[in-house]
Amino acid sequence: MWSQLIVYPFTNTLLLLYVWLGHSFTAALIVLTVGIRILLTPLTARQQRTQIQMQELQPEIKRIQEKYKGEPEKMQKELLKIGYNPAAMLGGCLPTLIQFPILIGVYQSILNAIPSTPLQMMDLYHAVYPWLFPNFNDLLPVNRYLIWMDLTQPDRIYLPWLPDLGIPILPIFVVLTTLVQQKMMTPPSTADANDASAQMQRSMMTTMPLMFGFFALQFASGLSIYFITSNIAGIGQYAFLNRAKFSWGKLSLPGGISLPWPDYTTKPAAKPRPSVVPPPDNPPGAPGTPPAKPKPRKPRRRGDGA
Amino acid sequence: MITTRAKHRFSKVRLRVIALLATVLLAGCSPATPTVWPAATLHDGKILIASSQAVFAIDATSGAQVWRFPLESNSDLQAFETAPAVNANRITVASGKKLVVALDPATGVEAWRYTDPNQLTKIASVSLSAADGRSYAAIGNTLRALDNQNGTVLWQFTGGDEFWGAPATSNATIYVPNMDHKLSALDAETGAPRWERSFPGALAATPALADAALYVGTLSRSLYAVNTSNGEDIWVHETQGFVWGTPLVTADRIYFGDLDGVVYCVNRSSGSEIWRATSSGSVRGTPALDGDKLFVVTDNGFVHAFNAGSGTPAWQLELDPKNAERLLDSPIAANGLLYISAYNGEHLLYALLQDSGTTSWFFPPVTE
Repeated sequence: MWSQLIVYPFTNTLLLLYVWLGHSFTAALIVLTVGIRILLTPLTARQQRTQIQMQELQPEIKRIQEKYKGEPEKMQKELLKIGYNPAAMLGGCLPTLIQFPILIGVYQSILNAIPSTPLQMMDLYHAVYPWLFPNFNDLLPVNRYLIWMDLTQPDRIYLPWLPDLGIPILPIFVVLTTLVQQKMMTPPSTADANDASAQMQRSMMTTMPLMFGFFALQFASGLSIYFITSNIAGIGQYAFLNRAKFSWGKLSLPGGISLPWPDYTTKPAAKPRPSVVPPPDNPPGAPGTPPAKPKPRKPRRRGDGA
Repeated sequence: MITTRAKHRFSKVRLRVIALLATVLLAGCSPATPTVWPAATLHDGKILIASSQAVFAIDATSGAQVWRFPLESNSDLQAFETAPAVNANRITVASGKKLVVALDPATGVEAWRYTDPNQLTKIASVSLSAADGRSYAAIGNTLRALDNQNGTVLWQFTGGDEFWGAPATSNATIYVPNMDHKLSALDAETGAPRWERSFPGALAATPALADAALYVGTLSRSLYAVNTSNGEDIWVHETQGFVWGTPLVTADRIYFGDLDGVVYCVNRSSGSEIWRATSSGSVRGTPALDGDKLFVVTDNGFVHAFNAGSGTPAWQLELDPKNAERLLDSPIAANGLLYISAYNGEHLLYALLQDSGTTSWFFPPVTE
């Protein structure tokens, strides 16, 4: 059932794109990945907006945390009042979670669509829709090479002076792009070092890139192409949605290499959202307090001319 | 500061999410089963079977193990992907770990070993045949002729793509199928090309060679009879599905199956169809013939027996749904038994009575 619903459609889509894009499997994979990202945009954009909102609440959260240090119950109450929802903090990994069944389907369809073993060829024969590919025999063997890479195998490049050490170029790019994306989605927290959400963010910052890097190291390099494309598309999408908040800086790496790096310090922080409610016992306009609560609008009545 | 309870809750949620992601991905992506199917051949009263873990010699009558190579599990000596080839008192086996090993047929003791010098990360595709004191071993896209006595490389030939099918051998010429749709005739002594021709489909199996004709199954919907002297078509028989297996050639007929599950019997000289029958699944391997019975096995685990003269079904059965989910190798018919190797499961080889399909014995590889 899984194959019929997920793997076979992806496999046929990949093959169709492969035909349309001049028998380049890499191009087919990139287009499929971008297509998947576009289809997932309603979900991911919603999550990203929630995250941005939570980031904007950080100064207010910190103020409440300091103010009600010894009164956890009251603190919770106040946090809830300003709309702080801890569950929403998981939003950073939710788009990834949603992607996982798709990721597995894409991975299986990569192996299916570019068979490198006789067994995979048998499976491809069963996966292909004959009505879509009446001349399927012309497509075989599917071109599975890109420069030095065999897309069905984990990526390693062997240099003449390092014959025994395979350098995993694509997995390194997977780690870097995942890191940049994670960094974008978890900007510097203003909360104190003991804040659980900040701890979680820091942990995700390191865990996710390493986990995806490990997968890229172990599995077919076609999967790495998917990861990298998806990450770049995610970075672009997030940069667009959060364009008022940050700009690009540079991260200097050893060897004089610099990496585009989200820089939240070069642009002034956005004004807190009007939904943030000042604590009732704070005078409006006092230092460290959010702007005054906007005046409540009168409820509209029918026949008001609106 | 958020409460300690809340902190723990976050921490637990994070761990669960990561564990879930890792589990789901690994479950979905890890290869749980071998990527190749076992391949068997009959030699001197023994079934020689190459599997992902070892090569076994099994007594064809009793099913007892005669020897195995390697003696113990060895990660460097695994992924034997092609049927053992026998010639000049040597058995050669090839592994996807890019090596060819020659064994003593009686004892399974290693005589020599050839390792491919190319640095490849993957398990390579291999194919193997032997004749006139040479083994023709293809690893990836390179075919090498090796001296059967010591493993010396006599010559090598590079194909446009990988060699999945082993060469068909005769005294002076070998016929090499390649996945790039081309069939090449090479001088067996020097490896020099004699002729080359293209087909509409990839060539994944060894062509059948009989007298002055080659019978070539292709991953397109046709079987070709080709003149061995120049590669030109003698006739073409169109099929319903791709023809992967090597056709079985008799004095006047040719038997073969296709991946749509159709079994064909055609006239050898004209290619005209004598009969066709339907099986329950894709027929990948070569049919087996003994007396008047023709046997085929299918990708979905069924064994079919037909009357070879008329194509009338004699019997059919599902071999062992638990241990023989897919039957992809060619069956072997001899001694009143039908030998079938299974792709996965606990039993590597089954011997069935040809008359009824009743299991006579099965061979489980030694548990490690």
